[in-house]
Amino acid sequence: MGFTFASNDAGRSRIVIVNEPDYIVPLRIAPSCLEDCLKQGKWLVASMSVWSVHDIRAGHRAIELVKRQGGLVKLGLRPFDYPNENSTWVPRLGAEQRADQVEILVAEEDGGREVTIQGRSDASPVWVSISEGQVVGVRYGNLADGDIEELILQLLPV
Amino acid sequence: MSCVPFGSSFGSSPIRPATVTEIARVIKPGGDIRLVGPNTPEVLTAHQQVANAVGGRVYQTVLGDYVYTNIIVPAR
Repeated sequence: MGFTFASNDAGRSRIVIVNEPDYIVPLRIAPSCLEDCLKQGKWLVASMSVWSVHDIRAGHRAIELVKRQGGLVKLGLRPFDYPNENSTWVPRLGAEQRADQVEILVAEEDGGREVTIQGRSDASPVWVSISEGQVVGVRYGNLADGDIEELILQLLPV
Repeated sequence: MSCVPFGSSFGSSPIRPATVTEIARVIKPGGDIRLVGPNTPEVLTAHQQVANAVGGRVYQTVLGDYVYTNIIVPAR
């Protein structure tokens, strides 16, 4: 259940959905524009860094949350390598969101130095809610379940 | 030599080609490098590139969706 990663023809990530409903949809890495399939219906798209354990865990959580709506909202799962790859399909992506965002921690110990470099948890996934091809919401980072549900519910009629 | 890293850890952060070069340049002989990331093609390639650049002993474990690579740099 969920998804795994495989390699495409160019050696880049390709998402493989495993035993999930057909409204859980793998999307290609680095598209040139918003795909036609996203221009119909209601979608939550989670764009996940291929470098981030946090992002992938968030993608698995999103599957469970979208399934609660029984297919009224589709979930698109997209991998990205360079954040700039999202600028072709997410409107008004800011300069900060187009660059790698990391935290660097340095600790001195016993005459040596340890450097830890980790991805920032508030930079991705990139969450995009889309209704009939119109982007209605964009959020960034490791959202709580309630925040993800909010993105889903804003796509549904009240 | 006190200003160079003795050890380095990378977790969930991109490892770009320039990063690989910089790791190889600053890592102290006898230091260790710990790399953690998802089991994706880009991550596996980057871990291998770091191992090739610094040499030494490489220990790699895949647990579920994640790959852990430890590299012990030779004490020259």
